[in-house]
Amino acid sequence: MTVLKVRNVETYYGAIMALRGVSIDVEQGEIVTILGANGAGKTTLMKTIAGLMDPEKGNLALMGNDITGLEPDKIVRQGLALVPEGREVFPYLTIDENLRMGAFTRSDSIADDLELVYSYFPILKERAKQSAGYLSGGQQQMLAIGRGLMARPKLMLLDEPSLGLSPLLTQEIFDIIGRLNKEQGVTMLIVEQNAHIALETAHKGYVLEMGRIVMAGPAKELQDSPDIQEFYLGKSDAGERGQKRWKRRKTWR
Amino acid sequence: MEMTPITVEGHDTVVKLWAAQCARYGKRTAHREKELGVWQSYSWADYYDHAKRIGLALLKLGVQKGEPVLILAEDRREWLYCDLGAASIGAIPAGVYTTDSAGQLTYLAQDSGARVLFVENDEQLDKFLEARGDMPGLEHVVVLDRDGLATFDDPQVMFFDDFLAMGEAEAKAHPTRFEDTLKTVQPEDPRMLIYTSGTTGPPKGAIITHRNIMFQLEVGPKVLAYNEDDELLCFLPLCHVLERLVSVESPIATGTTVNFAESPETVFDNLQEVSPHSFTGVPRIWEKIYSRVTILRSEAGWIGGKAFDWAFRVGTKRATLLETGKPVGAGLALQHKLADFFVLSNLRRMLGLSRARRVTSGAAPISPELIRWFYALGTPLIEGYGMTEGSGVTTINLPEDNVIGTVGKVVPGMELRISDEGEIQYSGPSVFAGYWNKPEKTAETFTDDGWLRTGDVGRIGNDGSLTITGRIKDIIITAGGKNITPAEIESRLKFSPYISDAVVIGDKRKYLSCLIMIDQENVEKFAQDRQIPFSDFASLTRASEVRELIGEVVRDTNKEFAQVEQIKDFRLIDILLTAEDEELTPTMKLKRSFVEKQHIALIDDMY
Repeated sequence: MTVLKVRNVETYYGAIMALRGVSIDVEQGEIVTILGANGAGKTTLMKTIAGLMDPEKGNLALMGNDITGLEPDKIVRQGLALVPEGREVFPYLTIDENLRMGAFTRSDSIADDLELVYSYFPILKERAKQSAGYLSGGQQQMLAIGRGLMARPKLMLLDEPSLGLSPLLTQEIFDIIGRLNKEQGVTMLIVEQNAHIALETAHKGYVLEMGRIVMAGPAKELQDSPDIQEFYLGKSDAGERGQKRWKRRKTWR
Repeated sequence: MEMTPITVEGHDTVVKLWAAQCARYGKRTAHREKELGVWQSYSWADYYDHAKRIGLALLKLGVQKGEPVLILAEDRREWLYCDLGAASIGAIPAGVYTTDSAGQLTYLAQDSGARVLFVENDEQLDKFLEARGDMPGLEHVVVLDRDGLATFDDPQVMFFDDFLAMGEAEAKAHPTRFEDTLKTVQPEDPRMLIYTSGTTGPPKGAIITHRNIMFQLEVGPKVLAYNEDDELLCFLPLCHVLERLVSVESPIATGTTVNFAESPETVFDNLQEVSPHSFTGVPRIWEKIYSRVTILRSEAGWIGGKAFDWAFRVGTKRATLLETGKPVGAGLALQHKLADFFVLSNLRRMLGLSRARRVTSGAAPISPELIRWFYALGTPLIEGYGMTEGSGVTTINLPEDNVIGTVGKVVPGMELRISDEGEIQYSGPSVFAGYWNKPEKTAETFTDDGWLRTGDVGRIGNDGSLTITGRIKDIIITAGGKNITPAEIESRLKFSPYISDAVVIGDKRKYLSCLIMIDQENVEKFAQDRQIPFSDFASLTRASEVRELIGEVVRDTNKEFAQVEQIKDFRLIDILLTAEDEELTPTMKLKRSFVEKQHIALIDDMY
């Protein structure tokens, strides 16, 4: 089952074309990652999927239903959760309240889900009654992910979950992301600058450059691509001089 | 062979002429180059001064007369300084493509026996460092740009400023050594070594003499006029005979100013900035300009689109009358004035062709439709023909007598004939002196009576204009025994903005098929406009609508060809090829032999 279908999406900021025809697929139970440098259009793509921006052209479908141009709240009700870049927790609400906000669109019982989130992020349970503003960056990220989970989404979008986190915390967050996917079957689309960890965790990846997909394939294949290694994984054959300033020309194959 | 001296302004070698012109023009601008985004001018005096120091430094390193010197850099003024510096002391400059690999550089170093190599920067230097063990003959490397190499130190490697300082010291010690050596260079001495891209086998170094070039310079003004204050734009690789002739040799004789494009990617922007008076490109450039305008048209509003179509209709009508030698009526002339004022002249200005008296195309066949389109636009496009072994131009159309679809008449002083097998052969002062260290290859290139075999097939019309139909080696003999020259079919296919190149297959096969390289930009646009999903390039080539689009072009092409020349099937090459790939020449043409080898699976799939 294809959870998310993005077809030929073009999104503009005024006259600036940020997405130049992007098509991607996310299948049930998959972690898909979007790699790309600053300004490649990753966040724009996320915002377009979540309905925060409307595409000029192209269409999007969630679980087979057309969501092009829908308001964000309608899209959330159809089963999409966005874990935004920079976490965006409600600082004056408690952790518990933050998590309950995540389940705002639901009318069924949420007690089990609350327990589930606490089991994955025990630190949140310990500090459940504290204001979210007092959490550390890593804990806020955990809270943001937990809040997303509370909606029991069909698809969770994670925008740069490693932003501002130490390497150790990044590893921890991605371990949990992997476990959530494996144990709970959560389908995820992750935008990430840290290509190394994203490709370790994901099943499939797309490389976005200048608003275009330049490469797509299973994460393993991307990891082995010389272009990905040089431009995203920072591996570079230092050559005879032991240092190299110039970059090879990208071919994306 | 009798050798009547060929002189331009009383000089019989390129270097003597160059030295005299540098002295004559002095502070006038010879070159322009962008530095940090701003165009800077460099004079003829700079040209001479730098080349002199380079020549002297080479002498100091012990470079002998008749010894090749390699230059591995993008087009830039220092390329010319090194070129003329080496040539002035009788050494033989040879260019290396910046897209060549370390392995290819090694081959050229070994084949030429060069001891000195100029490299542009750290990237090119790394090629030498990677393979230096395989080229023990290469003793000195001079690096033009120091960026990223501040702490680099190697006994074999020297930086350009130090190299120039060495030449300066030499000039102080021996004030007349450079000029004295320059005068000893003889017309029969090699002026340059041009490595042919070698679609079959390894590259061969064609020796082009001063006399060869002096002939080209002498005949030049008889076919194409240049003015001293003309601006030119240099962007094709200087390793290639065409750009070398147009941007190095010809300006020496004509005093024109050469502007260097920043990079191959910025050619169209630079073209617009410079707006040259004459511009030489390969068909790919003209195809790109055409497809840019086609896209502009498709994005124009309703009124703009109508105006565009009308202007081109008028332009085409007038161009057709002019081509067939019929008078243009007063009504049409008036319409054309309006069309030109409101549409065509603006388009030309946007493209950077507003000052171009004429533009030229060479190095590969161009579609006649494309030439006619440029005439309709108001930019006379002229096709010429030549090859490395003929040191440049052998036949060319004249602006005032352009027989579209032909490559024009033979230049005065050369003789042309068609052999019994249909091969174009010629003889005369621009025929090269042979391949470097390859006497048997040289012998193969000449007929028993001393004419140059071009390997091209063609015919000479009643008016003397030559039409090229293809390469002898490329002639396809189908399993049915039919002889087919694929070039005409391929150039018709390439006229589509969606096809950037094509290779027709069918040798010893039942029928013809074709491998097609799509134009990424235009096909992406096509897919985008029609909501055809694709992610990367490979998926674009797999989209059924794209295959249908190209199928349509193939069907249209088939209509213009005979029964045996029909393309029955085709495949799209699903990787985006770059100049580094073996399948492409530096001028972005597909190399038949490599394509057939690399994509054998696609080909077999069609039979």
